[in-house]
Amino acid sequence: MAWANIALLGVGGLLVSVPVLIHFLMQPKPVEVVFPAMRFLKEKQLINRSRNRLRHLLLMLLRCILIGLLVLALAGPSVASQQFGKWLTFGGISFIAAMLGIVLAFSALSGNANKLFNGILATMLAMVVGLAGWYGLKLFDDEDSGQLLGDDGEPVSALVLLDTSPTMQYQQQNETRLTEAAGIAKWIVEQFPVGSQICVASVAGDQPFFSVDGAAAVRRIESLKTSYAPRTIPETLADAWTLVEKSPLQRKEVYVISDLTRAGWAVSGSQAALNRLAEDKGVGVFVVDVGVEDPVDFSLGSLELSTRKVTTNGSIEVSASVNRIGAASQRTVQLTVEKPDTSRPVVRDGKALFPENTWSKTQTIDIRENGQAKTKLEFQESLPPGVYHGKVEIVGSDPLAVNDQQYFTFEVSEPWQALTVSPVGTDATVIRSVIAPQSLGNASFEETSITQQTLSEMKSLDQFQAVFLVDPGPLAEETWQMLEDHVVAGGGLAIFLGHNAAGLNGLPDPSFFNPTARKLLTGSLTVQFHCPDRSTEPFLLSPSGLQHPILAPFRRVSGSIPWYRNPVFTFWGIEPDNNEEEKLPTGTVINFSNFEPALIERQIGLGRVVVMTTPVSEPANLRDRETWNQLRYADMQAWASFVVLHGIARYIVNADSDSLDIKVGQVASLTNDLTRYPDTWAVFSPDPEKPPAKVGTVGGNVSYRFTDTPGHYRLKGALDGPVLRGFSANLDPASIDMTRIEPDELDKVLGAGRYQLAKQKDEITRQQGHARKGREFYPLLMMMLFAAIMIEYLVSNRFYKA
Amino acid sequence: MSVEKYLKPEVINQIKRLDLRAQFVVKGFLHGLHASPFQGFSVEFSEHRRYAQGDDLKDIDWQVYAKTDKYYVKKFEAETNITGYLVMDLSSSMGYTYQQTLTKFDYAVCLAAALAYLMVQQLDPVGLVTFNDKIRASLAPRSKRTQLANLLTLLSKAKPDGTTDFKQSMQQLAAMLKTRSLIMVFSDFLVDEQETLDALYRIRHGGHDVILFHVLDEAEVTFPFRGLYKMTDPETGDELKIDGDGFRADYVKQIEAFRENLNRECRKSGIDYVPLDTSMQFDKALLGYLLSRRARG
Repeated sequence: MAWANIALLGVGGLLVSVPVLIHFLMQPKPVEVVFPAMRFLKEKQLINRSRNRLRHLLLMLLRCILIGLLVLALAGPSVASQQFGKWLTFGGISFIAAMLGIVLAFSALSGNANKLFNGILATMLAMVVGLAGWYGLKLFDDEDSGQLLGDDGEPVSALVLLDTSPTMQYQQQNETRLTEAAGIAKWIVEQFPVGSQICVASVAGDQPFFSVDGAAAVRRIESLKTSYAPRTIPETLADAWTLVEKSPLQRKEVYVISDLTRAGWAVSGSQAALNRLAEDKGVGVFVVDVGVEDPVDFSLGSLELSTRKVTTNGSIEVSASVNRIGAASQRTVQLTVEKPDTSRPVVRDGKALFPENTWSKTQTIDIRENGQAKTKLEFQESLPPGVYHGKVEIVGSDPLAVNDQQYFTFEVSEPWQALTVSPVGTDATVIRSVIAPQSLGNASFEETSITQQTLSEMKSLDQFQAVFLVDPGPLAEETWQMLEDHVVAGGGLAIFLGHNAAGLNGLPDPSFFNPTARKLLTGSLTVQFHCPDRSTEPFLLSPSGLQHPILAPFRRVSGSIPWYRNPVFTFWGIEPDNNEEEKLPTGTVINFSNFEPALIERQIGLGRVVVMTTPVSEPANLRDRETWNQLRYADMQAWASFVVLHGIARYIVNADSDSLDIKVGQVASLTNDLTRYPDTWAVFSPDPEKPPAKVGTVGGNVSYRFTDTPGHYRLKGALDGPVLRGFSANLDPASIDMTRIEPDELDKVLGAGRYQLAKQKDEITRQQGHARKGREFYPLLMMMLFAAIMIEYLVSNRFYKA
Repeated sequence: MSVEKYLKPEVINQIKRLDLRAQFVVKGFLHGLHASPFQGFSVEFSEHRRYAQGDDLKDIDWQVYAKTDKYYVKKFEAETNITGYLVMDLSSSMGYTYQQTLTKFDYAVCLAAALAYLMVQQLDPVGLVTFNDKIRASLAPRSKRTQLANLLTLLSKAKPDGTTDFKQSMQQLAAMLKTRSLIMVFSDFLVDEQETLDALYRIRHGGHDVILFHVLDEAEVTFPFRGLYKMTDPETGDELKIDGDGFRADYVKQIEAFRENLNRECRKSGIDYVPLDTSMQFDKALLGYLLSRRARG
């Protein structure tokens, strides 16, 4: 507790004794009268005299309190804001104790009340006095933690943290939240006394530092821009506070200017610094709310592309959800794809220029109030090979425009060349029907079928991106080697093992045990597994998860995949090789229901091998042997095996390997085949003001980490002519959540009662005053003084009525 | 101007001559009676004394004729004449007034004068006894017209003083009474209650009729004191500092209980009790007397 005029307390102590003196020296003179019927008065004399004395004492007490309150008010006591409530509680308990004491005194001396009543009163009084004593001791013991920080003119070590997350782009009254926040921050900085240390921080992730002076701090505030990959406020605050708490200045203040949306306040990482801040009650913490109570917004969800890599005659389908906060409305969604322009991007006059011509498609959708609508746009053009950038956006005005568009990038290539190899007598048409269906003229693959004999005569597989070995029979060592070379060079190989691999007594043919074959097969064939009962207990494909890219198409229907429509009766067991020398990445993609592997993948060199332990070429009925499975014969219900086959085909040609769409802030990494692409690239950011950055190939990849702006990132290199690649960076729609943080969540971050919440400048000023000079008791004391005067007036009038 | 107003103490207080006071009170009272349920009593009172033709001549009271030159029926006199004693408390407490109008003594004197006037008008012998700690003065009962003047002279000279010894005074009075009499006591009875009652029982036991006119000051009944007071007992000189507000409720309860107790005890022994205070009109007291007299008539 601090006092404005502590000297007055001493004088006041003397003044309080005045009513006592008056009480004894100038007791009121009674009116003298003659009264004959005295004997009726004498009987009550004792009781009434005590009551009278009590009344006088009460009056004296009231007058002492009156003077005491006046002296207290003039002495100007104040306590730290966070202690104010506790002092009020202490005052309240003391008041109750005083009232109980007075009532007990009256009751005891008047003789009217019985002993039980007095006993109850005395017990209550004892309890309340005990409580007041305990609370008082605790309060005085705790008082150091709520020290006051002197007057407004003392230099301050201040942290001004601006929330620069994307939601701060929300416009209200033609002003974004960030602009308003910056205005308030500048105003706050200008208020700081000369000599103050000011750290302006944002959630962009910069290292916190003290500005040279106030003007530098203002310039720093003016330079702050929206952070599309923001850190959370608690994280930033923890880092910045670590700097500010070391300041030698005694007075420290923290200002957090935010729209108080939930995403920005998520607690993550170490809480140690925040706990120190919460415990240091000498630090004034102010949260300035520049948010909007009832926002309205359109937002676009993450894009879902049917494929990231299409062939020249392929099509791409883009779907997304359109979300609405606010009243029902209609909006147009537009898909645009940039037309190829090898002259762009280019820097002119210090500014990057991007292709301007686009294809576009639009769709109008109706969205319910606070609802969601789906949009699906198909794009098909005859495109030359290359990388294409597209964008889906909600057309029209929106207070928060930052989440109205999503970017995508896809690659167009020539159709992949696929070679299907099968022994004579094995029908491999299923592969063709999956990867290059005759009915579609725009298949991603161009398929060539040959026999196993033909394969053994071939010298190279360079012209094929994918080779499918369908139920292979024994192969020569050279053929296995040729297949390995094909994979090592980046080609894809899919092997579907079947009855042709069996030698004597159904055991594997020895040719499958040579080292190259085992390398490609990921291990040694062991025995054939037969299901216990073909009709009731067949094996089923039973993937443990759908994370693998081959299984990606199943993700949308994960709960209703009809695996049971494709029963498997026999498959080859594979004993994995130890693979200790080369440590080739190997994994099981799909298991059977008995946990034996059904589909295994292995990365060898630049290419991939996928081995299926049961064939896909089995006819339904055979005369000389039992069929191994029913994967080939699919109908509308038994589509799962076809989807797996399709996934295998795309996987081995690396159709979806490069992540062409990333989230803002993530590192983009593209495979850089030096046979096709240059070694170094110039990366153009979506921000045309930003100069292109040069990146080189490292480990076969080209990486770029400064993806801090949503949009298209274009890689421009040169071989014989300009070569263009690129990728897109998008905001995570989940990170743009306008939901406001609840007070208890804010309490968890900053500590309950440890911060002052303000919206307007005058509120900030008042809160600053409370934190710096504490909460003054003057108004409260004056009110109590007024009440005491009134009571004294009433009591004295009542007692001395003539 | 209506004569009823003379029944109000504050009006009577304006009249200084005691004989006029008595006359006004009685006239006012009688005027009221004509229009009251006691009219019959009033007619009997004004007509039954005169001799009328046909009355038995032997019943004529010749003594009255000698005094008044008028014929009165003797038999009537024998049946109705009552010897009355006005017994006035002369203690200093009777001299008390809070409102500075009529003291209790003044009120009692006024009332006694009116009663004396009334009785003399009826040719009832009336006497006077004043007392405080003992009997201070007495006037033997007479029915002569001069008796009224003597009585009023004595009353007007009396001044309240000293303490009360009701028991001894009543003992002395009892010794003075020769014939069956109507004893009308005017006092505030601010003495020991049991002693008062014992003394009154004794007189009553002697065959006398007793009417107690319990005269209190208005302030003694209503206790109008607010705030701090230092009170002095005029008889004992005892002093007491009180807070009027604190005492009032208890006091009023006590005084009511006191009067109620007196009333109850008096009724038990056939004593008429008329509680009065100095703000009350005199007719209540006179009515009390007349009711008592009729009961004996």
